[in-house]
Amino acid sequence: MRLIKPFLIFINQRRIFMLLMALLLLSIPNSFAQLIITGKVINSDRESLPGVNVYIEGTQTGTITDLDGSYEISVPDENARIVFSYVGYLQEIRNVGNQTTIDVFLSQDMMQLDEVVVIGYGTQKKSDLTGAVTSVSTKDMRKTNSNNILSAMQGKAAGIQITPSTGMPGSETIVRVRGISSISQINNNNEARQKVIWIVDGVQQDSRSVNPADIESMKILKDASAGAIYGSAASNGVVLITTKKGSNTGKVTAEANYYRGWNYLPNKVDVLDGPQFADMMNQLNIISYTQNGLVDRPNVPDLYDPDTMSTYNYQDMLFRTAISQNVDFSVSGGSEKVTSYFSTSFNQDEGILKNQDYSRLLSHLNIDYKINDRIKFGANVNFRWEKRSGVPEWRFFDEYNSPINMAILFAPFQNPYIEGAHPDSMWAPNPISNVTNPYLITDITNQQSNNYATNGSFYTIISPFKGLTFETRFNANVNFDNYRNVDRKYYFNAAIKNDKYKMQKNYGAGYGYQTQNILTYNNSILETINFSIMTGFEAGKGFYNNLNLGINGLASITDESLYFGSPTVEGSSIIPSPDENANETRGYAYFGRLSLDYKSIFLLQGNFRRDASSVFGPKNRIGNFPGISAGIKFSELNFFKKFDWLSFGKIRFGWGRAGNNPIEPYSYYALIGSDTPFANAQYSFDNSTVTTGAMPINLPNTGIKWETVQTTNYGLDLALFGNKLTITVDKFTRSNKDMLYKPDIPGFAGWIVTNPQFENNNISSEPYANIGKISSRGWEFTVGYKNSTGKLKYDVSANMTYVKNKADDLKGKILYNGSSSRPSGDLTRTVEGEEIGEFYGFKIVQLFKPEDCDTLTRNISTNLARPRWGKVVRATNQPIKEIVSSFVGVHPRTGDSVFATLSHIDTVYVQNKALAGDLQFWDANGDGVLNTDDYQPLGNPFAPYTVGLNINLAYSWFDLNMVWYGSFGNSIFNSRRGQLYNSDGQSNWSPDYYENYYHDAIYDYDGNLVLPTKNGTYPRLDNTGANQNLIYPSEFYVENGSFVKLRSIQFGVTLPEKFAKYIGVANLRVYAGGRNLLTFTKYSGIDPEIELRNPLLAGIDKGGYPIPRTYNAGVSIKF
Amino acid sequence: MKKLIYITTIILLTAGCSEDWLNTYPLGNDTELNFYTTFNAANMTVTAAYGNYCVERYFDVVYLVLIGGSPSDDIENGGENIFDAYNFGWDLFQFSPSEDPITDLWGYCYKGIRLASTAIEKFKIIQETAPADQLTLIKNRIAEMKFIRAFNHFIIAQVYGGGPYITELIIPDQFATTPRISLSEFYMNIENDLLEAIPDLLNRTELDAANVGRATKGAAQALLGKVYLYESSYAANYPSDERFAGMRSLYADALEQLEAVINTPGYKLLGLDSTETYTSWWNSNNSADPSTWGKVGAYRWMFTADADNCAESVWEIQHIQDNLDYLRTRGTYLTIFTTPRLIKTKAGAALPEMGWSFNSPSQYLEQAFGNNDTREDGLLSTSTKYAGSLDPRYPVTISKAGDSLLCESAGQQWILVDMSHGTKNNVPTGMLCRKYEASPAEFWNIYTHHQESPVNIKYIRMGDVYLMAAEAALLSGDAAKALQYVNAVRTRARNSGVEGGYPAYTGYPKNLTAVNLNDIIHERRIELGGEGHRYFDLVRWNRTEFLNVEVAERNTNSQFVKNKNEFLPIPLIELQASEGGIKQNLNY
Repeated sequence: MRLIKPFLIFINQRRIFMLLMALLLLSIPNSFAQLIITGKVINSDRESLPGVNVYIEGTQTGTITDLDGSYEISVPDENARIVFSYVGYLQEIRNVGNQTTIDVFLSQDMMQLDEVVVIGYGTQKKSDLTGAVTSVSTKDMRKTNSNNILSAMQGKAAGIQITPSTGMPGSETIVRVRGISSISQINNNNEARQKVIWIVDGVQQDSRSVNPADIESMKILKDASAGAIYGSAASNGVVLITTKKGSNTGKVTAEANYYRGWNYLPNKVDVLDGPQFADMMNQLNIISYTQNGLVDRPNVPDLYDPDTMSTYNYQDMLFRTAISQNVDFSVSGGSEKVTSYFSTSFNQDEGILKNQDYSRLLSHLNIDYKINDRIKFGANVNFRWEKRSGVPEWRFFDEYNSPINMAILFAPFQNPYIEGAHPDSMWAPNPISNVTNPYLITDITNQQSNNYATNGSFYTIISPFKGLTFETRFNANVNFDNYRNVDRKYYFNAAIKNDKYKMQKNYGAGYGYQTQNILTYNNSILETINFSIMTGFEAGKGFYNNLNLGINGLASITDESLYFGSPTVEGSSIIPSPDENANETRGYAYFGRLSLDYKSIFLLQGNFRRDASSVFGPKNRIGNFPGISAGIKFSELNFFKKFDWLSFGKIRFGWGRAGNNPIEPYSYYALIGSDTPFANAQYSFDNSTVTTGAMPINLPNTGIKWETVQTTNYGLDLALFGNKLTITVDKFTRSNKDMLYKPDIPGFAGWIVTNPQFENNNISSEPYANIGKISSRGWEFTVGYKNSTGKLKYDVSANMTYVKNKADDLKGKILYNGSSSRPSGDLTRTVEGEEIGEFYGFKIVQLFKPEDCDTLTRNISTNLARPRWGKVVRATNQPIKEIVSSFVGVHPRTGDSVFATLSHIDTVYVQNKALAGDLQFWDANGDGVLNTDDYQPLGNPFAPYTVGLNINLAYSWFDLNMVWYGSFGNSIFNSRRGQLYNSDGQSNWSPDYYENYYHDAIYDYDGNLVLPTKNGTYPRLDNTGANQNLIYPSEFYVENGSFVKLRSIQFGVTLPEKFAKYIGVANLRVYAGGRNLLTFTKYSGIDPEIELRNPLLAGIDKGGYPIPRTYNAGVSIKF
Repeated sequence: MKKLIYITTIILLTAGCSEDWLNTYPLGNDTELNFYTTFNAANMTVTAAYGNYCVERYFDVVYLVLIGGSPSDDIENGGENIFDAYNFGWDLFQFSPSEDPITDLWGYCYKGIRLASTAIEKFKIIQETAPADQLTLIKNRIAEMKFIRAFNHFIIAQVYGGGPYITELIIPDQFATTPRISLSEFYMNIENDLLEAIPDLLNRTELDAANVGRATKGAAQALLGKVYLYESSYAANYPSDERFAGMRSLYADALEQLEAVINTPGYKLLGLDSTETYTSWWNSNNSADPSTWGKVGAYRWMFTADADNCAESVWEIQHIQDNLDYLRTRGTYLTIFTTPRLIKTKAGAALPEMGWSFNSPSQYLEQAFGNNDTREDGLLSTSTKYAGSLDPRYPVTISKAGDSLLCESAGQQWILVDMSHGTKNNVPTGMLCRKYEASPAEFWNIYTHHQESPVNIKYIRMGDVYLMAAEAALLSGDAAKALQYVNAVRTRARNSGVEGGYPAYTGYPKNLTAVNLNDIIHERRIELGGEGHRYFDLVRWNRTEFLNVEVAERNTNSQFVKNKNEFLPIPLIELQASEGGIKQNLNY
């Protein structure tokens, strides 16, 4: 027997464990020690498990493991079986046989039924949960090879869809819990408004401040029955994180981890090489000079000689093998009175696009003091520093500005750099089109941004008597953003040039504070009814201000002149009006919860929160958010107890309302716009100088109020066969009402703004209104199986989500949304009763064939002064409309009838410019005119089915972790097809088009065949674009977006303990793996994971930054 | 007891948040609540209401060129080709209610109306506490804003056949309940705003140099004359058309207002006197040195920036060239819009993409200048009067292949080369309108800052006022007066064409001996060619069948549909956003 040191009880989980220990200590008899078995108990991470209950099956004889996880037990004989059990872990039973050493792995129990989990402003036993709360296994997060908490979560929980905005390092990631909760669009800073809130150790924080290595536990509140306690901002889901704390054993442990990654462009878009491109340009040239199928060969020579063309592979040249590395270190420990945990991590990511870099430093410190049994104090401090440099991210959301698009579409035979006549000229212009040289973008912009954020929280927990706890907490945060952009001097052509260096700086600073007071009382009545009451109050304020300064006309940039104090800067002209804005938001809330259960079988919980926010006008500041849920642990009922295989079973129901306030503050004020950036308020009354004007620039809406989201959830939790197989099923419905949206306002109200950036200083003039309703409904399934055979341990879990989003009520409006895409105009629409943001355009019937066309030769301008004779070839198989021209009168001289339009019955064809080889669009309503009335739904950008599969295998000292992620049933609008399949030579082509485009035979005047007939499947080359094959949104652009990705894989080897000890460490693991190594998709673009930030205009591939393929390797060491 | 202490403490800790604490204000921003306390504040909104005319794609491009020009038989759209961003098929009367220009013109007119109404409302409040010496100025400003409000409403009436008449801020609750009133009521409201404005507006001679761009009494009278003329024309020419029910014949009132302008000091038909000539870059003979420049007649000179705010001009939009960023427009796009794409220097070097080649005169307009229109269709029944020679206004209005255009500073003269239809970079009819040309120095700025032409848009000028007066006189029964005004315009034309004098146009008939409406129709077409009036004129005269001509760039005839294309469609967004409160125009 070894002496067991008392453990500090800090969280309830440990309390139960200590009770067990105490029980064991009392119950150990003086047995007849015949065999001494020794061994060590470790978990799947090779960590020693102290305090594991080790006893002989069927007896009360036993012991517990010591700090190193070692134990020693006497057993009566070889037939004895030893049971190893530990809270939160699956029980193991071993036959003694002739062994004297039995080392045991314990695997974590996925159900962890007695685990106490954090819920809003309190804790609850996991088995008592009645809301839709998902635990994300944090143990394996490190094995996803990602230092980004969001990427690490991907595929791990049902109902949680995580999509990166771009693959740029440090890019924002969009988290959607159970579909689309609001159609409020992206804000002025291009960030999605629909945001999950992150509560880290009780404080709302930015997810970017969270180091995955620091997370002890993570819960996601998916429905409002649980989330309503967070009220106004909880409609998109709440992620609750508890970070690691120091242990009170008096022992200090340290851990270090390092890995290095190699990132690659995952997939290239095939384009023509130089000779092929030259050949194609020659074909286009011939075709464009063709009349009546004949070409005047001597006068239409080839433009290029393909044999002399070199090839510059811009995709290879612009992308690189990018190195990423991450190092983190943590140390923790403590005594009975003080415990502490500290971690810091530094991470550097190069972007796969040249010059694109990101680095991040995170530090986290946590200290807890226990004054006595009644009073505890604690503090949490976080620090974050992020640095980004390179091409700004907005370019990747705009196909005309994305250097990635340019790299694909630029003329492939053109050397990117040529020496021009102008001293600042070095970038080759595109000899054939207006696609910009991508190097111009990557070379001239040099932005750098630094973000610093720190957050501190201090709390006191007082428990004056049993059952009552009072917790008060004060949080403060400070952040500072420092942005600088330098545009270097360049000369591209007379119109695209920059004579002088330009520098723009932006300083943003903000602070916020929040105070919380929570009172909790637990007790039970009649020993059967347990209850817990919590009430609380919270108030907070946030402030942010932002100063923009610019400077033009710098002759040069040196490290010194990057700052305004430099003499070279002082000589230049500072843009006359620095622009500063600030905003402040305040709010407070009262909240409470009552939890009741009868014998811990019948469960009932009610939440309520009353929020007040300064974001809304005085009349509508208050929002009330109730939530109620109930559950029955039916496996505890006598009827079910007879089923051995049923370890646990619970049914749940939850209903609740949460709010959404995704709007800018002050939208109930009419702001005044004036001054320089505000252009059209100015006028010259003397015809030479400018007078500055001012005017209200937004229509205030004093009536706006909270958007509320109502959810209903039915759930079933099952654990079978000794908790080895676990199943969770949820069915959910979510609908919002009073949805905040900026509906179109009629022009006669007088608020038109076509260029908000210039006209309105980026402020939108339309007021928000509470209109309409959208909903999402669906199912979630999670199945897990965990077991071991011999040395092989396996733990497999799969989750599947089905979710359908629908616009229920838009007040009869149809919301159209477009972009600057090559097919111009509206690409998506959202219409009542249909899915949100569906693609919308022409259906394609076929490619016109020669037999569809009617050739006629006639005077095409019969009644005109200048008769012109021509050959008209028209596609005839579309519905035909006959127009009878109107009779005007009799010609005064000739006596002939004069018609206002055409002088005879004429036939008007739907596509009267179409020739064989053009697309036949479907005139869906058969009215003889092709217009937007004929547009049809073409697909949905949001995947209805998403699947995650997590596999953990461990064999002896080896382990393998895999995460697969799949997304099915969505479409992608591949706007780049308009360019890769272009008919006018405005950009490089896809080899697919080169091989498979359509044209008729072309002969020269001597009858020699110049181009043979080509019966291809893609529209003909035609530099007049007469049929407008590609300028409309159509089926041509829409592709199947389903994919399956091997999100991450990691193979690890843990050094056997004796070797580890030999080199002086407790544990050493080396690993190698990768992210996004495999992708299975039919999508033809670079990456099927397309940004989905704006629900109304999502899933459009505009040359976004692809998510890299990464290989990495690392080592982690524990001391 | 102990429990009680704890609970009390907690309650004390949690209390103390009042509603006031939630009152936050926009920081670094003025709001309507705190801003409009002084004359200067409201006056800034007056500036904004004027500045609204400088918005891209509103007044200059959409109203004058695309709508005033394209649908007419005088102008073809032009541009790079028929797929050009600003080419909408309006030559063929293919108007779609969701097209941006249709939405934008409507929207910016109503934005101007909103700004004018806001300024009026704020001035009325400020007036109550303003010092006495400000009261006159406030009165002037309110009158200016009534003029701006009326002018914007007039464009709505002319282009869309009216809409809601807005005089105050419309809040969301009113979107569905703000009615589209009848066009006759709409015209009466415009007239009332102008009648209220006229007494309080200053005469042009009372404006100092710093305020020369403001609306004057003359501008309001001329506009009112035009509005009366429109109302009278609709009443006369669409007697049984429901859309024009209630319209009155007010030719005499129109004549009264227009003659008031003619008789106001400060306005004159520039160049009536044949000795009146002007030095201009236009006749610079390849020289950059102004001292060597030659003379041009007033009819050419008045279309240059040098003639901004000259005596010919009655109401013009001020444009200056300050080379600020894209869309910070104080200039106009019209110059770059109407400059040819393909130009060669005299030495033969091609200068591609110099301009955008819009606003291309049709063969019919060209023929009208020399009476070579082969359509003997009744419209030109008096054409023998004009037979025999080219009108002196022809070279001011139209440029063709081979014409010399502008001068480069180095002294190289430009010539237009092949502008024939069919290939990229050329214009459909082989002609472009020269009335918005800028000087070489100005042009090189415009070339890099497209929106920065400094040429003021002379929307109402004396030539127009005389012809409107002639029409009003003729139709109110005073044919002699009509003849006098038409002959004044013709005399000016003969005396002040590009060569600046009579001799070049000896065959040009100076004076008509009698005048009928067709003469006035012809004279307006020639005098105002390319300035965006013809389509609206033919509509109000109900002579819309003559809009159906061959459109060279489309290889087909346009098809004006009566009872429909008199007006453009109401923008789709109005029908949707007003939840059906606004009804679409007939047959759209």
